[in-house]
Amino acid sequence: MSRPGDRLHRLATRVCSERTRRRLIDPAVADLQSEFAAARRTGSRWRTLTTLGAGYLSIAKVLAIAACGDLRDETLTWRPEERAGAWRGIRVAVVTTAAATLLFVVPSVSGFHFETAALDWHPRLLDFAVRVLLGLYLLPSTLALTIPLGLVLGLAWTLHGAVRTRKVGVAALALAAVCSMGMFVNVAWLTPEANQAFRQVAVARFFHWDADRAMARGDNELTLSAILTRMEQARTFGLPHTPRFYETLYYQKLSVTVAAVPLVGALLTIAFRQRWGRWRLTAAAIGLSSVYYVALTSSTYINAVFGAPPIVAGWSAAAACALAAGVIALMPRGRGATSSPSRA
Amino acid sequence: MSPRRAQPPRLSAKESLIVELLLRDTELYGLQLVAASRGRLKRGTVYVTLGRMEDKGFITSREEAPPADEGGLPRRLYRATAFGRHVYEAWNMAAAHMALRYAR
Repeated sequence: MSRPGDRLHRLATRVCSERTRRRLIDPAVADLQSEFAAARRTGSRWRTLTTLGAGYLSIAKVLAIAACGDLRDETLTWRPEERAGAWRGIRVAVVTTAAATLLFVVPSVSGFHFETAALDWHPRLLDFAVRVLLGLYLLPSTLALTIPLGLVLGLAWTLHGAVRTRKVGVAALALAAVCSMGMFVNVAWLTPEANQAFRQVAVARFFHWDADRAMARGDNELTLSAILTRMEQARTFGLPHTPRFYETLYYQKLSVTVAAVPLVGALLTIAFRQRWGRWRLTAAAIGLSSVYYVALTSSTYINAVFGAPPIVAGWSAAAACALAAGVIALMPRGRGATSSPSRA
Repeated sequence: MSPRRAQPPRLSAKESLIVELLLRDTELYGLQLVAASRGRLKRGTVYVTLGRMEDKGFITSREEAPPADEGGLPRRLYRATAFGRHVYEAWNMAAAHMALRYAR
């Protein structure tokens, strides 16, 4: 016969540790069962019901507090191999991000030559200083691409063998979410200003443009609110395709900000499903990133050529990434699979 | 730099009340503590407080024999430890001293 609190007790065995269950949940359930039996003996239906309601509420509260405490303990307690794996992943992520950033930035600014006899500066020193300045202006837009890439490659070097645990996966997702919040600030405000400053300096030097004159902003120099304003203006003027273009651009930029979450989510799906080793996961991470960014850059074409709604075109990168991960995850496990615990 | 001093045991208002009730009645269940507190303890949080106090060594607990007639889980009885009693007395003494000295 089922007694009151039995289901919550079974739930507690799933979500709480043995120690927490014995210390917090068991006494609460035992008191409820005892109180319920005493209430039933009185024959009062109302008292039985109120006892049951109050008891269930109190156990649910204890269960929530206990589960949060256990989650906190589990999150803060890392095994040495998990800690070592996480540090390895962080190192790989930092090195990859730095290398990819340099790879993007250096060729972009190396083509400029600003040798000039202006001021008292040595011409080559001035040339170098301006290039460094331009490189710094390119950093925000480059980091929006390279940080998610570094994160997903670092994760590929972490999630294998004994380190392929739920705890590491949750930590990676949390890190990706934090990363996305930072990227939102970057893409929404920092990148447009840095891109505009880059244009201003580069064009001023190239074409002897008056540095104090403000240049008109291009599409990559628009903040999110500026994109929305342009969209509204285009609608007001009755331009047929421009509002759709800006709407797609808006979703495209949002898609850049959240890139880390679908990429990490997709790699976690593959890692836990296929149980691949380090190199296969690295290949999967590179493949997923390529799919994501190719889909991202083609979203305006998807909108223009195929007439896809802007929201669909803008988020097509996340959808393509999820699709690719789903296909790989559903593939039968091959020879590269390694067995390991999936839960800490 | 001075070496870090060991922190003295602390007793919150709820913990103090629980020790007081347990010193009065020797052994009580969680729900009995809630009833005896006259609304100052809530049944949703009393078990968490009791668990924390057990970790600190202020109280100890034991499981009662399982009920024979209706079945179900055995209830847990709590009692104050000697350490809990000492901390409670010291805490009350300090509070009384502070009240005398700084009362306005």
